[in-house]
Amino acid sequence: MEIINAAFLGNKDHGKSTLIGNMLMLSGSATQARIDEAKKYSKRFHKDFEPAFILDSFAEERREGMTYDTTRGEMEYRGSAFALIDVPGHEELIKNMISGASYANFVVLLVSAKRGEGVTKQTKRHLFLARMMGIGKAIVAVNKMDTVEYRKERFDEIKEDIQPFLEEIGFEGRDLFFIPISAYYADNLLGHSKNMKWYTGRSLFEIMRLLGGNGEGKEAGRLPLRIAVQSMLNDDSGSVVVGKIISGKLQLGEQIMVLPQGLVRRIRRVFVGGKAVKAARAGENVALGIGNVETIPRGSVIAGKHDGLVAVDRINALIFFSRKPEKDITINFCGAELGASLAILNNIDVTTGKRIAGKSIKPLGAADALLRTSKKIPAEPFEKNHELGRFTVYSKGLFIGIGIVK
Amino acid sequence: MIKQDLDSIETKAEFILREATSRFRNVAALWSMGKDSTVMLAIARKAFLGKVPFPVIHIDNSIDFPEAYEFRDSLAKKWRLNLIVAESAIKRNLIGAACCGKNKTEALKTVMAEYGFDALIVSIRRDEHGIRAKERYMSPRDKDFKWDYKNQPAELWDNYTSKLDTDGHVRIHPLLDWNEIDIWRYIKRERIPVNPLYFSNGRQRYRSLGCTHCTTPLKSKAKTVEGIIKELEADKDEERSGRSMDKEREYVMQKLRALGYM
Repeated sequence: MEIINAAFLGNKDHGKSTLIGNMLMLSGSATQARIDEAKKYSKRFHKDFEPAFILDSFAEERREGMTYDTTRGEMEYRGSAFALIDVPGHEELIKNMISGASYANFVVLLVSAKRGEGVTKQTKRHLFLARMMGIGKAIVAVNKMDTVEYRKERFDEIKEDIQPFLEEIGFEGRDLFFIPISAYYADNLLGHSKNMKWYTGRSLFEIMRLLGGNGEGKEAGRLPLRIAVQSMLNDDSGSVVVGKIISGKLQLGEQIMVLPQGLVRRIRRVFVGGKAVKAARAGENVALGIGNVETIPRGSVIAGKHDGLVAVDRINALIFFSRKPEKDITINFCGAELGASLAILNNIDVTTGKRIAGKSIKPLGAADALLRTSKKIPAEPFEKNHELGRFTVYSKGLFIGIGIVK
Repeated sequence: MIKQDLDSIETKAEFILREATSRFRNVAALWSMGKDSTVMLAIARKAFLGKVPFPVIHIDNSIDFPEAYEFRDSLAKKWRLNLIVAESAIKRNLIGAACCGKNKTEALKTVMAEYGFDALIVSIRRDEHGIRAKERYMSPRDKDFKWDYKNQPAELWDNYTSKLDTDGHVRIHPLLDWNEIDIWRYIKRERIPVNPLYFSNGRQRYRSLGCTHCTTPLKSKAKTVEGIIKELEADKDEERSGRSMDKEREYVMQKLRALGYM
């Protein structure tokens, strides 16, 4: 059964882990042992039952009532399956949020309706990052409606507050939903709440099922052939190139080009799952015999001979910085690490989505930048091919951000 | 328990195994002869054209079940495994978490140092335990095997971490996404041999295999792989419910893992 990944984003304390915990329980997906453990620790901390403890398993997380690191729980309900990805909301833990959200097919953004909470910088930052990573579908769940007597006015207020930003960064139309909920009291999660009769739309689960229905990923098969090379292997009849088909398909006998080397070869042998086959497609791990070749390093890409992919060393990119880098910068592109330098062209305010003047790097901010790499790489615009259009950024071995190719 | 698409979780595991051997100089895998690490080896055989390319370590505390030793030797021969048996000096007075922590982890430290392994493939799954669910696919450990769980590296897309502090190693978790029932469905589909203790003797079977000291069987009539799958379809219990160490103290799994336990 296909599992759709949904990442739950938003400011800390707006109820992400509580919502996931309750969804797992109500759908009958949490094991009894996890529920019992959550009960035990709820009592310990003098709380009524705390569903977040089903996800928050570290002692520190329960003691401090705060998620430190990403995790996921699997939910199965009425013939649909989702991996509910929990991420920390705290600003300092943004790298863990990015890690969890990067696997999402769509996001559920939580905004607390409680007075004094509402839409925050971090709410918008999470949305900005999700959009930047190519996620185009979002559910805005206005949470803690119980604290405002389930009033429609407060829901509308929050909706109006966030809607212009969502449109500015490109969440809109049929791929954007708003729903009022109480994660703790399970209003509008799987079914329809009696506390908010004014809301006549779908329940959270029903929206999730709708958004998850039209699976992406399948379109990778229709894009041009791209294989990310991992390594070489030797078998009895010579060496084979090992990698994953990130898009397109290939056939025995086809002519291919290896970039950035510019090497042209014919595919003489194809292995998938250890067996010789005649063809392979996107998503499969292959081993290819392409005659005698020198070692082809990681980060190389195999494409069709005539489809015009070129290797470049100057790249216009959009970069999000989780922290300020030192002078030395490396990027990880398609599994290979290489040196790079950055020239910031302008900053981007992640809370408005607008470009602003400024050439310095701001932690937890984004920028348009000119990236110069130490070697040529077969990068493509993110819009054309996600996997060849994105990279992670490191400085002195520490993760400092993510980038996409414009 | 959700049944996942076996092709897609197999493909991901295969990819992670190939990443491991491509990124690291000296990779080894832990093989407990249990179902999970045996499934991992079956996937490695597919990923690397029929042969497991890395050595497999069995931490032998000499109190494993006799069936396990027979199973180990026959499969090692059949699959041409490069088997390293790391003997742990079992201390009779230790039980449960103290035993796993001291004996298993210490034996692993010795064998890792002796061979200079910089990466270790461990077949844990998220659905086994809340703490294991917080793991990365590739997770660094320092020279004392400590897991810095409060500061795990970013891990996104297919860019797994490969940064290593000197003298440490990286744990590789290719089966992190798998559920228990997927393991059994895969065993059925690929006809993978498993330790006979998993099957019922008519009254009971082992659902999770540790060593003789700390593992208790559960009531079951499942005598075949199909029988086990059927049983799991209806099940609400946790797999490790027969493992005493998971229950005895609070956060015992977190403490053990922080100190290097698998």
